[in-house]
Amino acid sequence: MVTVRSVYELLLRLHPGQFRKQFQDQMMCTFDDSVESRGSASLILDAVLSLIRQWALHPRYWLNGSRIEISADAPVDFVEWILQIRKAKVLYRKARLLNFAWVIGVFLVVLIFPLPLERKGFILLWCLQSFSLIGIRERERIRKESRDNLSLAQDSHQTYRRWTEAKRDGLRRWSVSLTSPLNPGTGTLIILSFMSLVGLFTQYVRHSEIDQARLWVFFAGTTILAGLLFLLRRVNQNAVQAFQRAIDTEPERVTGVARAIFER
Amino acid sequence: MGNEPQSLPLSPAILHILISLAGEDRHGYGIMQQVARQSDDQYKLGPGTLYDNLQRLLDQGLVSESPKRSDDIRRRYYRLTAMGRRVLGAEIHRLENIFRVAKSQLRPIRGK
Repeated sequence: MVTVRSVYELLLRLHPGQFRKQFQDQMMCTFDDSVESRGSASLILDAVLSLIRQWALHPRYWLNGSRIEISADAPVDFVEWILQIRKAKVLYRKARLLNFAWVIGVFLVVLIFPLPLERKGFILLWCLQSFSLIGIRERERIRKESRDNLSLAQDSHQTYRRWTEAKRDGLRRWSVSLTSPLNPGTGTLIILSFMSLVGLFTQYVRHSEIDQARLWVFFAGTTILAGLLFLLRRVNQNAVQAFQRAIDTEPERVTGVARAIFER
Repeated sequence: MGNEPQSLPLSPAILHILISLAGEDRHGYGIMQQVARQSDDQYKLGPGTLYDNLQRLLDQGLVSESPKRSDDIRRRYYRLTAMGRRVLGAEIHRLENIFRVAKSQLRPIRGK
């Protein structure tokens, strides 16, 4: 069962890494102390506002934080981590979960949008269908990539190097596709966000029957989702840079790590 | 006074946090309680607002972590630094000037 405490903890987890490291435990402790006197709703609202403030108003903290977190300590360890989760296929599960959360987000946003029911149904079907197609295409591409890599087994150093680079390219493609308007979910959000703006505008010009409050909620929802997407992209870009640095600076160790994981 | 006037005026949240730490070292929840007490429950800080401001105060060197510890290892205590004390003093001095001007402006109206 989802408790208020776990929702609060989740909100804290969404804060920038540096802030989390410094204050997450303290904030959980303060939450435990103050939940009875303050009430859970005000604390949740406070955490949401803090989340927005941290990402929107203090970029210098999270930009530095994410760089340090991923790259400065041990780039090769980071590569090992990425390769391991690929080997265990955990990354696929994570990607599916992320896609699922994304579809649910789009579903809710479309549901809020003041359109006739049949049009909402059409948009939702289109989104869901596109996601499943992308999933199948991506799985096929990865399978083919793995087969190609293994067929180069005569030169194992080259094989593992290619495997590592393919992983890097996968991360890069993923980060780019997340925020591309050609991504069905992102494209839908952009179109609906634009439609809500047009709706708000016409509401002001001539009082139509569209519920203004719902339009505002919808517009805020799409904007927050868009912000999350850009954030994901930023984090991924840092990951790609860290990956590349590891490949460039310590190629022998990286291929050694890749081989060890593959043969494990 | 150093560079502290550049930080002025302080935001209400920062002013309240600095005042709450002027008396003794406190942990996060202690600061929240003290802020509520010193403002007669008129101003209530949430944990998000508190730690957001503490992050900035730590960065600016106005507040530092205190070695004081409690039973709960998650708690950290904070204390006002010498610079923080000077900034708070400068802010109070600034507010006193405003009050003095405001009182002098209000006097003739009372007399009418």
